[in-house]
Amino acid sequence: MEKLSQLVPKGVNDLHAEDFEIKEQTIFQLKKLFKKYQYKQIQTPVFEYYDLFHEIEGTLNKDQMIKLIDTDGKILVLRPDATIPIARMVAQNYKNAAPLQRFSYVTSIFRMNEDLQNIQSREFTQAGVELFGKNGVEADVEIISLAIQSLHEVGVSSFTIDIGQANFFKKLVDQIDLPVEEMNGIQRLIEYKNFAELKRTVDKLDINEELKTALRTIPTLYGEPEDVFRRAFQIANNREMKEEIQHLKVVFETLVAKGYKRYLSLDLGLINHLNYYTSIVFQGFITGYGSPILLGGRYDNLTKQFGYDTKAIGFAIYVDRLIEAINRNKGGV
Amino acid sequence: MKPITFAIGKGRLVNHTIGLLKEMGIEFPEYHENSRKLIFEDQLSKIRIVLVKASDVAVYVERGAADIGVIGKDTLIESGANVYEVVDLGFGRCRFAVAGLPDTDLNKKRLVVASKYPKVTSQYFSKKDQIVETIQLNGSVELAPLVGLSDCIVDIVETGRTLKDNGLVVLEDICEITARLIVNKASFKTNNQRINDLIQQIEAMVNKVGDLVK
Repeated sequence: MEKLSQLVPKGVNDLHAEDFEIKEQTIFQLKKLFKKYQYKQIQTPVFEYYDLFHEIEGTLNKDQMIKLIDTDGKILVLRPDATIPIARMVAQNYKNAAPLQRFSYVTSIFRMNEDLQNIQSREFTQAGVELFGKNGVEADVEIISLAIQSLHEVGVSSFTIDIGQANFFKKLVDQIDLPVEEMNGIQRLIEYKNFAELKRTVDKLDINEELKTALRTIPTLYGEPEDVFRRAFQIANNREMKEEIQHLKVVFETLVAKGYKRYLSLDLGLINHLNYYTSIVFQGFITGYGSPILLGGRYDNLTKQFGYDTKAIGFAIYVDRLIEAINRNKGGV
Repeated sequence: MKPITFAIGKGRLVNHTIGLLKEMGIEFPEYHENSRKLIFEDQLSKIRIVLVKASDVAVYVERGAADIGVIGKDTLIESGANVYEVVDLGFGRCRFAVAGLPDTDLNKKRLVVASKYPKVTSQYFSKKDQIVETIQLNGSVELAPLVGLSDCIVDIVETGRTLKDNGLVVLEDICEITARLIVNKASFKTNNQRINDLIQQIEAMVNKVGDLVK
C-alpha cells in the first residue's frame, strides 16, 4: 500500500483513553441529570434522507451537510443536527400519544466546516434535551433552568446564558420589504454587532425613520435587563413584538426569582443561524472560551412540517467544546 | 482582576491604537517603535496589549487569547472570523481596488487575477457574475501583471504610489477599508461591564452610531 501522507481526514480525531474517560464522565453526569428530570434518552439514525433536512423551513446551511449516495441514487446525509430528526421522529410516532414528551440524546453530529484547523470541526458530540407539547413560561423556564444546572453539574462555575428572542426580530423585519439577500446582509451586521456599517446600510434604505431607528437599536439591546426591556418595548411597534417581549420579561424575572440572575444576560440582537427557532433563543458561554458551548431555543413550527403540530423547546451542549473550555480554565490560561 | 487583552496587528495600526488609548488615559510608557517587546501592560487600568502579525489578530480574538483586537477590514474579511465587529475606528483608511495596466480588458473571458486576498477577490467577481482564476500571492503583487502572471490584481491602495511607480492604474474600486475594533463573543458576554465601558469610551472618541432608542 502506498503510504498516505495523512492517515486521518481533516476535522476528525482519535480520542485517547484519558480523554475518553473525561468525556464519558461528563456525559454520564449530564445523562444522570436529564434522567432525574424525566427526559428519556432516544437515538435517531446516523444517516437520513437529504430531503428531510433540505425541504424544511429554516434548516441549516446545505453546503455544510456531509452527503452520501444510496444504492437507489437517493441522497443521504450524515446527521447534521440533532433536533430536526427528533422532531421528525416525534411527528411520525407520537401523534396519538400523550402530547407532553421529554426526550434527551447524546449523539455525534457531522458537518462540513471551513475551520479545518479545528480537529473536531467535522464530527462532534452533542448532548441535549427536547421538551414537546408544552409552551408558555413554565416550559421555557424549565429548559433554561436545566441548561444552567447542566453546566453546574459538570463543574463549570463561571458561565453566562445569553437569552434572545428570534420572533421579536422576525416581526420587525416582516414589515420591511427588501430582497432576501439584502436582508441577510443586514441580519449579518446585527449578528456581528457591526454598529457602524449597520448605520450606513440602514440610512440608505427607503423605509420610514421609525423602522430605521428600530433596526439600528436591535443590536444594542443587551446589558442591564431593565434598560433592555424598556428600550425593546419602545421599538415594538406591533402587538406580536410587544407580546414576545412581555413573555421574555416574565421568563427572565422567573429565572431571576429562582436565583439564577448571575448566570443570565440578555441580547435581543442574538440571531441564531439555525432559523427554525420561533421564539426564545439562548446560548451558553464560559469565561475565556470563544465559542458558545450551549445552544437552544423554542421551535414551534418544526414538527408541523412533518405533519404533527406541537410545541417544542430544547437545547444542545457541545460536549467537546465544553470539556476543552473546562480544561483551559483549569490550566489557568 | 484579570487584565483585558488587546491584540494589535504590527504595523501602521499600532501607533494609532496606542495614541487612542493614551487619550483615554491608558498608557504604555515602555512601548516605543523599535522595541522588540511583544506584550505591554498598564497596571492601573488592567489593560494589556499584545503585538501580533496583522493576519493573526482575528485568530487571537476568535479563540479568546485576546478579548479585543484592532484589525484592518481587509484582513478581517479575509479571515472570516466569528467575532463582534463593534467599532469602525476610522483610521488606517485605504481601499480595495482592481488594478492593472491602463489598457486591461476586465471583461475578457477567463480573467486571471493575482492577489493577497483570494476571498475578497472571488467575492467581488462572483458578485459581478464573472468567473475568474485567482492566483494567491504573498507580496509584491504589482509584479504579476508586469511579467504576465496575471491580467490584473486585487489589492489595497493607500496613496497609489506603488501602483504608479510600476506603471499600473486603478481600474475599479471595490470598497473602502478602515481599522475595526473586534471583540471575542464570550468576553463580550461574560465580562460584559468592563468590556462594554471600554467599547463605549472608544466609540465616543471615534464616531457616532446615529439615532438609537436610549
